Amino acid sequence: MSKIVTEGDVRLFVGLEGELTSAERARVGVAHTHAEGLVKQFLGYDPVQRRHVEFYPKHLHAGGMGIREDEPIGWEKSGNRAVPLNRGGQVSKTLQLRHIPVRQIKNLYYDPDANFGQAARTTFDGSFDTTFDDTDFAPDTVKTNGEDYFIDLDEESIGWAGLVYWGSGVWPIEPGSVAVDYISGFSEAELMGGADADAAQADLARGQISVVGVDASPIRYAVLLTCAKMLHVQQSLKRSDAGRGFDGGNVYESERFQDYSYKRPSGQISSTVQLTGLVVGLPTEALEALEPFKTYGRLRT
Amino acid sequence: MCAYRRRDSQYSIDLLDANGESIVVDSTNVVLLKIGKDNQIPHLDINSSAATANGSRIAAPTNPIIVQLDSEDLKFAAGVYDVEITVLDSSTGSVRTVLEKGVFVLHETQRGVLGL
Repeated sequence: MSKIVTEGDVRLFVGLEGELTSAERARVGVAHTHAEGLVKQFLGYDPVQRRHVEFYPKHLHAGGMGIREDEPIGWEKSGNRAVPLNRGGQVSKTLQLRHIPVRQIKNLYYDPDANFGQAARTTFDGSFDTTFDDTDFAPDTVKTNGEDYFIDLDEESIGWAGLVYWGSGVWPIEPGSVAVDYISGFSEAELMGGADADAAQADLARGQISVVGVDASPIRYAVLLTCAKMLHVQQSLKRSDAGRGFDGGNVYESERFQDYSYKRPSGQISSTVQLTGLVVGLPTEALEALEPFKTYGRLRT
Repeated sequence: MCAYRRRDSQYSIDLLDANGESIVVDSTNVVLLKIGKDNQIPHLDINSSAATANGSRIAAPTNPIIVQLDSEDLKFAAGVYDVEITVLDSSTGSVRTVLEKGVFVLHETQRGVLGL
């Protein structure tokens, strides 16, 4: 899985740009991996640009959130059953994709009998990919961009909302009848905060889509802040003195001034850890940096 | 390791074994240098067997090895990347050994015609 930041980013941010020991490299790697996971979890999507293949709608209420079309639109045939296309206003003009920003839809399929690509499947090949099994989402079910559907684009090649409109009214309501093969996320230049014309051209040569001026660097910053916090806690827990137990770190264990004094217990979990806790969640500053990039659209999918 | 965006760069890199002794890469082996991010297509991928279309190259076998990066190959976004130096050992088939993995910083530069 591609990462939001490079290992070099993390090392430079925490002052470990020189030669590393194996243990230091391992600690950086662990903190890096977990920090990226927390950021992706908070955002609700993967901000690194890549291709996704997903099935929609997820359920009968997938339209939801007030963007509805209540007009009766008729019936759809499914096998030997007739399916109404307006169940009390549960149909929608827009489809919400899980990963944003949407950059390009490679293919969009509509097959009312596909059942999430399992209807005609006789064997499971172990992965969902762009080659669907058997006859589900066959080539003749591919729809035309600009006619059958169109992306809610803010400017060329970037749609922040992740919405796709069905060209002729409302989206089908049969769960798993639509498959979307699309590219979402930020290019490397956009994550670096340096998406100018040269960088966009360089990214294009590597198969990535960049839009000049798009700056997703706060996402990188959030990962780095979280990494720094994790490494700080790790360092506090590092066993450096077997007789004493965990290292106390650089905090006072006792202090006295006239009649006032205190002493922290030694030989136990370090004072640093007592002060900072074992909290390795996202720091407040990271949450603030990520807030503009968070999606709530997942509630609709 | 660092370079300036849209500018040529040249590096002299000492290859040392675990004991700190200089090693020379055999002429039948290939030294590879990648700049980018783990698990993604590198921004720059050069080796000692051939130069890139823009002229970036690695001169090996020598010690130190000489790495030349052409300004045309350094147009990607300024920022912090990983650099990975690997040797492809022809005597053991296709075994690739990582010699070093470090930090590569590409600094931003001013626009305009070079040399003016």
